[in-house]
Amino acid sequence: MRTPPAEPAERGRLAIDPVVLRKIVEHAADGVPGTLRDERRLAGIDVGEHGASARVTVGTGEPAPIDVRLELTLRYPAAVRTVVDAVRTAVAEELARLAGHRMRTLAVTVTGMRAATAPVTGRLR
Amino acid sequence: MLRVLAPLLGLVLAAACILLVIEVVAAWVLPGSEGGLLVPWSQWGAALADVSWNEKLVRAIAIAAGVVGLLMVSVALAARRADLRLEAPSADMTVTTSPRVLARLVGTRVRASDDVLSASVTASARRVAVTARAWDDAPEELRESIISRVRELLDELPLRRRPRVAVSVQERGGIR
Repeated sequence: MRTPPAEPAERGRLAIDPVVLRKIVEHAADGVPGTLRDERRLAGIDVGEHGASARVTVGTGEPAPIDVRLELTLRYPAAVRTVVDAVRTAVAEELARLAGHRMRTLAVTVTGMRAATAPVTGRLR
Repeated sequence: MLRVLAPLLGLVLAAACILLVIEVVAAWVLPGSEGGLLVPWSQWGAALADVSWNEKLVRAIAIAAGVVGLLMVSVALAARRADLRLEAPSADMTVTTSPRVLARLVGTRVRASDDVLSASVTASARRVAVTARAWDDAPEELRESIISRVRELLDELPLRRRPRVAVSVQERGGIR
């Protein structure tokens, strides 16, 4: 005689790796108008570009709260508070929508502010 | 201070490690050779073997090492992050930036003036100091104009603590 299957919600457990959460955070932050991507240079050579950089700490509880540390370059002139608030909203929404996690705290470090069109350094094309 | 001290100590340590590796490899490759390849460690060992722990020189070196160690510990304990706090949109957030970012913004704003030839800026949470170089036919009120530009910029930024502004203008002779 077969035992009846467990309730759908109890048939397994979903664990999302913090690396995935970090990528969700970075992608959400990069999509906010007012954040900028920077050139990545190694010994003066252009090796692509990078956007926001995040570190994610997963707390305990169900659903586990997330503490996020985020490094951003912002467009300037622009309202810094408005952009940072938009980043907070976007990150919290994406974490909830894609991973079902609640963002508990967000620490933003603005690592650069520059005009959108100005290159990071002098560069010949 | 730590910016200078940390790389210096790192370089000294790296040099010592490289010397150690060279000496170890030299001892393996040339087992019969007396003394070191670059460092005369066998002579040092012989000299140190004759030194007693009770000698004044040893005590003086020990005290000096202790004092230097204490100084380094106190410098490390006094070190703190130089980040500038910005007003956060909500209580669950902290927003910071670095003095370097502020200095770059100020520098860009100051250099945008036609009368400024070049400018160097140092920034901290307490103070923004600008040294501008201008042609000798620059207007008298250039310093006030730069101060006003920097204050405008500081007004635009949501800094939790507004730094003081200090500007000095150096004139450069010659044809513009």
